Amino acid sequence: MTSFLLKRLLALVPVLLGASFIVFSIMHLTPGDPAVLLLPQDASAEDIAVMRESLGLNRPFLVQYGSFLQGILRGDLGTSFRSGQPVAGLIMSRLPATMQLAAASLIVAIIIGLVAGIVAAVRQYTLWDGGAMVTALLGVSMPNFWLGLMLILFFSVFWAGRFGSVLLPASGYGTIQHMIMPAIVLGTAHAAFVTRITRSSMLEVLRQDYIRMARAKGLSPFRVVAIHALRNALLPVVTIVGLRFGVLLGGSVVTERIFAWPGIGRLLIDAVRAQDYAVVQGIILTYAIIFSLVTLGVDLIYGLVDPRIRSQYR
Amino acid sequence: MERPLLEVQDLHVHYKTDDGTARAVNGIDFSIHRGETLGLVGETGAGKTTTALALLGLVPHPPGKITGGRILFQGENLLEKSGKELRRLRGNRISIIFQDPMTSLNPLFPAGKQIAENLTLHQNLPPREALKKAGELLARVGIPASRSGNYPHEFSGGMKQRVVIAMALACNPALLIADEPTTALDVTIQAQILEILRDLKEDFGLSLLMISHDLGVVAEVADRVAVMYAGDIVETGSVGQVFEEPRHPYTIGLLNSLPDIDAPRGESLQPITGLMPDPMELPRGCSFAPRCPRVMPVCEEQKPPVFSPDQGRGVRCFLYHQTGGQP
Amino acid sequence: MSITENKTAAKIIRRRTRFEETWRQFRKNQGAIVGTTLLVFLATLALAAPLAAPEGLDDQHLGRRFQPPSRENILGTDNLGRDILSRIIHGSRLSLSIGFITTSIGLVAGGSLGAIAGYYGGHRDQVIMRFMDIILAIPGFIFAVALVTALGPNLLNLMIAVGLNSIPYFARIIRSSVLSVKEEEYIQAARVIGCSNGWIIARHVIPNAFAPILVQATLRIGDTIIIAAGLSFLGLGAQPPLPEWGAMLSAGRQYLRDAWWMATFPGIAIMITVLAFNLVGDGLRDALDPRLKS
Ligand SMILES: Nc1ncnc2c1ncn2[C@@H]1O[C@H](COP(=O)(O)OP(=O)(O)OP(=O)(O)O)[C@@H](O)[C@H]1O
Ligand code: SF4
Ligand SMILES: [Mg+2]
Repeated sequence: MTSFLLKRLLALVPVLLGASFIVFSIMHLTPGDPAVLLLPQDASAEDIAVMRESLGLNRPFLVQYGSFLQGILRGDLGTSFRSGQPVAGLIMSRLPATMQLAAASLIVAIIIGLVAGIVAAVRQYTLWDGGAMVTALLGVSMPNFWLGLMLILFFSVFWAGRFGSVLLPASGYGTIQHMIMPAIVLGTAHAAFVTRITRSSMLEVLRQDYIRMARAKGLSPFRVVAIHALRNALLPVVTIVGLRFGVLLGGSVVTERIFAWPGIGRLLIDAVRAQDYAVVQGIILTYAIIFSLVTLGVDLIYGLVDPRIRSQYR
Repeated sequence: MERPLLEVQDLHVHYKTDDGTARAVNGIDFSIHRGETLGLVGETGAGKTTTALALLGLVPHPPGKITGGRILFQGENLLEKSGKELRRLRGNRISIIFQDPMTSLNPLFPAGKQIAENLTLHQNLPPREALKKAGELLARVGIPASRSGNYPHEFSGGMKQRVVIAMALACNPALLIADEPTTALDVTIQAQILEILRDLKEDFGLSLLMISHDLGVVAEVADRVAVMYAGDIVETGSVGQVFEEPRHPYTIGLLNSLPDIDAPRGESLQPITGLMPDPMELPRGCSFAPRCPRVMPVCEEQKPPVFSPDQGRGVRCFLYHQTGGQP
Repeated sequence: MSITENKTAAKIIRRRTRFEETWRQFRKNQGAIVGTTLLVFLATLALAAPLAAPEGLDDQHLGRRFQPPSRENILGTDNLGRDILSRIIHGSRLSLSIGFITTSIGLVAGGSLGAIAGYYGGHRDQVIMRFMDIILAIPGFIFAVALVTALGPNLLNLMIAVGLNSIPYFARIIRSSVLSVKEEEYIQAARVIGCSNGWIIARHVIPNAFAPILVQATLRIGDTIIIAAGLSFLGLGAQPPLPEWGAMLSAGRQYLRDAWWMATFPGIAIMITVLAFNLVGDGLRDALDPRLKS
């Protein structure tokens, strides 16, 4: 298992290297001269040239990329053109908020999705099934930024107008109340996807011979589902949760912006608007690293669930 | 005479689908005595598995439904029992082995644990003891108890079927249903599995319902035979009666279509022409009439009742109407 | 010694062509029918937008700013006194085009790469798919943010970014479809009789990979409409005064407290459109995937 883990971690290196190269190239193509941005409006051409030289912007592209990489190895992602602060520090100070939000919405979404999906499969073609499926379909079709605005409209604007104070704060960070709306916004589509995939995977499993066998053993319907079917149905669910974690991270950018959540998503959009490319590229790389680690985690969960996969890990 | 362990009377099972209603089982009667092996033969789609599932109350619903009849097990009608009462019987008094051992075991649990599950469920054994007993059961079917912790994918097909057998026998059932237990296995393994089944049947004093489309298998293990065709049992009798002296035109055709080792070379096989009718569109009269070489006008009008041309034999065919029988 | 001979024969009942069968299954699916109806409706609306919309897309009436929904302006008016219903109808052209164009970019580029990788295998496969892995390691939406940042925020760049985003997605699907049909006998036979690779791919491989591609493309259109609207919402896509739904939502956000209708209705429009694509995509998948038939 350890060697498997090491192997997989090593396999991430070329992928992340490639990702860093792509991100660096895209940012390099970007119009706008960082040197100009760093100087006062009335800076002279010489000032700009001096600045370019000191930022190392006159060196060949690959050399610049090389020193960027060297920096990364030292944990240095460069310096914000705007604030002059180290990018790594900026990201680290904002990362916990993003992770909290992602984790909260992910966990709630998985629990809701699993329960709804199982009920829908076990009660196929009943009202439960129909209700869960329609809700899930709306969930996957709904833009999360719209959902966010609608929640604010109801819990903050409408509520305050009706009862004098907001039920949930429309922005900010710190308490559980602050977390509720952003987590719903970020988690809804995920819960809907988990519901759908759980249902179809569960239906597939319930058709299998070993489920018929479990019934033939005299197990109660609950135990057949909870013990024999659920674990088998879990693999596709884990896959989807892993794949869609990228979508969740993307969604967190929008969510953080709507609710003024102090995570790296909001930092990203602020940096984009300010053309603070060092920050932008650092954040994108951070997202790629998080996503890759989650994908690796998903592979490990496969092994926990399925002995056939586990035996390949040795 | 002692009352049979299992009596099936006028059992009907239908599958209702979008395309129509498939009448998979159409009023079959049979019984199995203690210690007896009944072979149920028939080609694919004849309704054998459906019959087996009906005995356990496991016909998938929807689309399937038992629409009539009685299933008396030790004198009690299973069709009147609650789900809970049925569950107490399943895997305990009545067990089943399905056709495909590859897919009958849950891939995520060790073999021993899957056997132990029956024991904790029906005999209230504590987990540790159940596991120990599971190991002993594995040894009974020829798998070292030390492999009790292995997962299904670590066993070969034949071994998996042994595990399934151990699982079915865990609680000392009175009746074992084996639904084509060897079809998915290759020939040498088939023989081994049959051997094990025969031994265990003696040791455990089981009654066995052996379902197969392989006449050879049935001839080898069964005491009596029931031949199934399009949801009907068309002929029953002892193995000797049915194989030596078949009466129903379908059974006769079936046996003629087999390569006969004693027959002189060059004598060609005579397969039955045509197909079994679609269970959604069964003929009004005898379901074999469209293929029967001896079909008579009455056969297309009415469904033949069961006649009894010899002692211990039943034939659902008008050719034997003079011999009397129960309608 | 067995009567299995009859086994296959018994199953030859009522054969239909694949298309007939698919259509029959699709028609039975209520959701798919609702989705198709919605799509036809939306497409008609988009095509006939200048006729269908009560007002032009940029007709400003500063005298009637922030009017709530009423008989004259069914969905209300915005901060510049423009009729929201009219803007949504005009905007349907944008959203549908964005969905189709971006998906087509992904399909053509990703599809070609995937077909090459799957058909030729070897290091062409390695290089292409490793590159796709790298792109996939960056969450799609965030990759699009980076691209739009680099290219500049406007409608065209938005479509390029979202389109590029779909490439690995289609490359993977088509590669695996190609791999699964490549070893079929008729493909081998075509090779033996000397058909060129390009011809085989175009004539045999692609048509056989058609079903999964159709399903995924339909579902993907819905996704890209949401992604594009999201980027516009962040100010990284279509810019005002374009009646892009995401941009309208973004504008509405500023006036959420006073004019709830400004943000509400464009969002509903997005949802209905995406819902329609999802319904049709689900319907197609269920009709085309025999595994899911019960
Ligand atoms: N779940 C189901 N839904 C609809 N029809 C079914 C279902 N299961 C079985 N049938 C139909 O019932 C009939 C009998 O099927 P059954 O499985 O009992 O046959 P069998 O004798 O066991 O055949 P085989 O040798 O292929 O196992 C067949 O025509 C089959 O198509
Ligand atoms: S009843 Fe008639 S058709 Fe049926 S088997 Fe007998 S002779 Fe043939
Ligand atoms: Mg069967």
